[in-house]
Amino acid sequence: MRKAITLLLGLALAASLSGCGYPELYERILVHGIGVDLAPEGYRVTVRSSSSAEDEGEELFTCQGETVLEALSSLSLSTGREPFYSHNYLVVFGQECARQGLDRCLDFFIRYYNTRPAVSVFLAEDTAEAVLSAERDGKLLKMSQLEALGSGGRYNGQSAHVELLDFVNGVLREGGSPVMPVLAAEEGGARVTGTAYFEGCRLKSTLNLDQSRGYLAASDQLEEGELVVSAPELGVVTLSLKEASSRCRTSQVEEGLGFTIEVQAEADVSAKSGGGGADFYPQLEQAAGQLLAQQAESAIRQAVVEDRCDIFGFGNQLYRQSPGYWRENGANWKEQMASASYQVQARVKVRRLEEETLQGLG
Amino acid sequence: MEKLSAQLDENKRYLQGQFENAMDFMMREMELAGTEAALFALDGLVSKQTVTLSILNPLMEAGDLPGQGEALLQAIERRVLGSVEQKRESRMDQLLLLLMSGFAVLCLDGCGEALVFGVQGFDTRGPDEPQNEVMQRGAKDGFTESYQNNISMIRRRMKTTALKFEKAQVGGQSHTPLALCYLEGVASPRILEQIRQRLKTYDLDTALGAGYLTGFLERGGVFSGVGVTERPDVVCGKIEEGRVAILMEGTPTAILVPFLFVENFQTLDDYLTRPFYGTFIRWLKYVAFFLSVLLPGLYVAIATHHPEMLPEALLLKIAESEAQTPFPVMAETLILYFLYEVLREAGLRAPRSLSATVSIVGGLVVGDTAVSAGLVSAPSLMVVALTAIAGYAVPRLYEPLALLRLAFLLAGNFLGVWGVTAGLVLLVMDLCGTDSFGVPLLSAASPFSRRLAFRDVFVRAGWQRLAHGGVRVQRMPGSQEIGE
Amino acid sequence: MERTNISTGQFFTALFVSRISAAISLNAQYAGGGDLLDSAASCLLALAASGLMALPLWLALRLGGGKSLPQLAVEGGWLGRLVPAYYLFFLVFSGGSALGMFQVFLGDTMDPDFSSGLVSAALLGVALYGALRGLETVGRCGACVFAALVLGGGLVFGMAAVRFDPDNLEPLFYHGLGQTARSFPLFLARTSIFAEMAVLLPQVKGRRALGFGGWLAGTGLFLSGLLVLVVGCLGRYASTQNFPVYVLASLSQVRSLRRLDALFTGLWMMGLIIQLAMGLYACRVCFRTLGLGKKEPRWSLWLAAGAMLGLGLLTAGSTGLQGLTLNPNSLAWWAAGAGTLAPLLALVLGLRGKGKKPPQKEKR
Repeated sequence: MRKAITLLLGLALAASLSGCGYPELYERILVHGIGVDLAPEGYRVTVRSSSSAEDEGEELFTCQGETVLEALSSLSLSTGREPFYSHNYLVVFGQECARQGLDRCLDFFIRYYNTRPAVSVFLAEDTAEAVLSAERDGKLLKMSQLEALGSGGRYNGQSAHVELLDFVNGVLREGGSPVMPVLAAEEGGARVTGTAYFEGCRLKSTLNLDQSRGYLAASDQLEEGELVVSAPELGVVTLSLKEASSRCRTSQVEEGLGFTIEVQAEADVSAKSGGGGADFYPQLEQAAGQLLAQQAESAIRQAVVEDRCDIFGFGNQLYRQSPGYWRENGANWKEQMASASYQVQARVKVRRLEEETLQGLG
Repeated sequence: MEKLSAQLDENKRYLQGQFENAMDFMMREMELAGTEAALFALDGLVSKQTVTLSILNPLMEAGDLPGQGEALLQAIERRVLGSVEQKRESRMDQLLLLLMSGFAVLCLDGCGEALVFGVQGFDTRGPDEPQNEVMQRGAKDGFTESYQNNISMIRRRMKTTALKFEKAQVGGQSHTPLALCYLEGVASPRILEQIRQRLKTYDLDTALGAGYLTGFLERGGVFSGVGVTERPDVVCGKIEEGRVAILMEGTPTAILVPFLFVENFQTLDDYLTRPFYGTFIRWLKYVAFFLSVLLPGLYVAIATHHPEMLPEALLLKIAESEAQTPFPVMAETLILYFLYEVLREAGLRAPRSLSATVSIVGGLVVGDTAVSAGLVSAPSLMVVALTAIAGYAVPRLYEPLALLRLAFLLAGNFLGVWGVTAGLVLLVMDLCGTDSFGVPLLSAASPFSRRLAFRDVFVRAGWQRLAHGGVRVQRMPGSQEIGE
Repeated sequence: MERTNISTGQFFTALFVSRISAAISLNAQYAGGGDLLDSAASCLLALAASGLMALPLWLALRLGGGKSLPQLAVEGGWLGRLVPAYYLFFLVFSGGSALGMFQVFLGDTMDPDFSSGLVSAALLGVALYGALRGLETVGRCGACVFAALVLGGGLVFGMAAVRFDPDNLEPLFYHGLGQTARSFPLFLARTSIFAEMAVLLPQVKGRRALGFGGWLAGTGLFLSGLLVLVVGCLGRYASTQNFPVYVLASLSQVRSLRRLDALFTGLWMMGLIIQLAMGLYACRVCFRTLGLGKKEPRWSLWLAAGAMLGLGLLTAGSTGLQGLTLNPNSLAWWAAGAGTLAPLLALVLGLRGKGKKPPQKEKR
């Protein structure tokens, strides 16, 4: 028995020295970003990958195929290396692709074993290739910087951070519609220009940045951000929003359904020019609240009422809180949501630490 | 010749015949009260000064002695000689053994018994600080090759009549004396009997080190159920918990049984520091053990089969390094590991005058030049170095660790993280299924005893708790004496 | 040295670890629909039902006077051999099914560079080693694995739980009780506890009924809690995945430390090894009872292990066989047989056997 084990170990050692034919790390393409655009015969996929730590995402490949996976697999035809997706940061979908519907190309990212549900998704204002080829200072924009544009919403309060998981849940949820931040390639890199919303998997329309803030505020996703309030008596005041939260109450009124969204936020005065007086802070709080409410109402009006895309989760809330009602009326939710009444009450509390101490310049 | 003859000449012939061509054999013939006598000893084993002063001079100066036979012997024994260790012996095999143990033998013509005197004078090393068990706060004396000295070191620390040193002997040719050291009323009679039985199975001709004996005391498995120590203070602590220490002539180590797995992580310093620090150091060693065993295997497994687990920056660094070296990750790690083992062995065996050369060659050539030349990658070297250093935190486990690392390396290469996991479970199974003299090796972790586990396994409790409880190793959970 | 006695804590801890390792295979397909919260309720009901189902088993053990059910049954004549044969078959079937499911999971979700059959063989090899060393070894190792699972699983799921969103929780029984009924067999199925209790309980010392109650409660809480966590973190995305528990684990991340799913799979594997080891040991006891060897024959372990491996490999390779071995409905029937029918048969035969023979001292 011992002789057999010794022989086996020796053979195993000898075989191990040869490496056993498993691919080495450098023999794989470490994919960091994927862009999907429609092509005449399927999809054109843009891939960003890295080969060294210093030049993150330095390699750019373009490939075509009838499906996304076929296109990605064809990478090995030109590179001789196997694509490796587990470190993929983000997926960008082209505008045309989204208009035709993302369901066909999305399935690969849901089903394939090596992809992650927590990958950030974006919609390109034009083509995904343009976004992934964006340059800064003569070099391709780093993928980590691109991904940070999505998660940067927690600082600027104007861009949604959407992962594949959130998008799919947005599609599958009762009465819901998914959203995706919009990226535009420009000189010096890329930037978020708004939030796109979908009907199922098809692109419907886009919210601008102010409406995006309103969407985030109303759907309890707003964390921080800068809000500029201007009025003759206030001057121009920049508020830094903090600890924002919102709550939605459903009610049934004679005309139909009513949704009341209460938004609360705390704010610091970061910059001020002009304005003042004894009523400065109460007026400022009122103006800020009104502005926030307007932005939310604008987003609701466009997405929910006009385009009948429930991106705020009103339907899901109704489904969870009143399943009996939903069972009877869920089938015609689109009509109901268009006719429901929506009221946004935003309350901004300005921290008054500077009230007695700082005078500023104005 | 079984018994000593009453004829001195016959005894002389016999002993001379036994020690023919042995130049250290000494025989001093004399006449005492008209009776022929002879003193036998082995040069180098006895102190000639002691022999002269306490045996020969008193004999020569003795005045009125009875004529012969038993009366003469008795007079010499009771009135003339004043040696502390002195007794009669008539069996020839015992006399030979005593001669070879540094005793002097006085035979009288017409007497069938000899007088033996303990007059050892061979050189022994002083009790230096143990090289392999260095303690910051503990005593600086360690065992020596003389088991008599070792016995005295223990006796000095445990002034109780319950402390017993039971004599035993192993080795067909060497007749190496042993002492079973235990506390009566504390040690388990069952374990003592098992030790005696296992010692009887020792069938080698010699016993030149503790390692000879441990093979007959343990029952196989990856981890030994037999411990060794060079420290008398450790022995005292262990026998207080019901263990038995075996002291062997010619070996500066004591064998401890039963020996549990957790004891590999315990040192005396743990108990000489404050509890929180002792606990911290204990956990450091646990982590070091797992690091030392699993790191190479996990590194190869993750780099080869599961690169998704690596953070991106690290992944790119490793990929970049691997691209510049000619060998795959597994081959590199294996080569580095073997190189390290060769260096370690060379460092251990090389003469002191060459140890600097070994360090320079090893450090510079392997550590620096090989990486600069692109023969091996820095991450692989880092892994092997970390593994080695972590292993030194648990020096008692060095031998099993050396082989386990290799096994996990292979498992990681062939079956990835799942191979390493399967290997880990196999290791735990082996630990769970092995016992040391009827006490489970993993006790009190498995079978679990909350009281004991949080006393001295997961946590080193304070002395208020350690002092009470009367822990006995034979009564650990799962032991034969109390069951699961 | 082989060990044959075990404490209640060790026995039921090992069985708990075995049971929860099957949780990885929870998905919408086997649960009978996408309303996984309804399946959580079903889990609690199924475990309560398990307690009731096991009553004949407890009665038979009590009246058997310290004998295992196979031993009790064979005293009733040649017909009694059906009971150990049934348990033997069920244990091999259950183990092979678990192994096959693991292999399917490996191939589907991890797609390793090496053969997944080799991993299965390695698992079984370790389990075989444990079974050869005896029940105590398996029980003690089960306790260690339990600690690792609690710590590792706690870490992984704790990190993933940051994503818990109450908006993902759906109303219970929205689509009626259909899914609750469909997933009921799933929670009865993936366990061989009835067979292991029937065969091994006489070797367990301590408050066994309490241990069984603890197993029921612990398993119920764990599985239902896990389902709530899956739903709360993944939402409806979970119903698109073959192994949503694994997907949940893949979400866990702390800064740059991501994709701990391979580690999680390794932890889960440990539970599978304990399950197989326990099952193999029980097979050995069944062989002895069948009188196929003088003492507990060691070759029986090799035979049972070979059969499990063969069934597992065949299951992974054949979709037709998967329909039989991985189908919760068929597995549930076998489990019900092990928990209710076989004990009743053993009880009847045992009483008949007692009536025929004079009282004898029990040989162990």
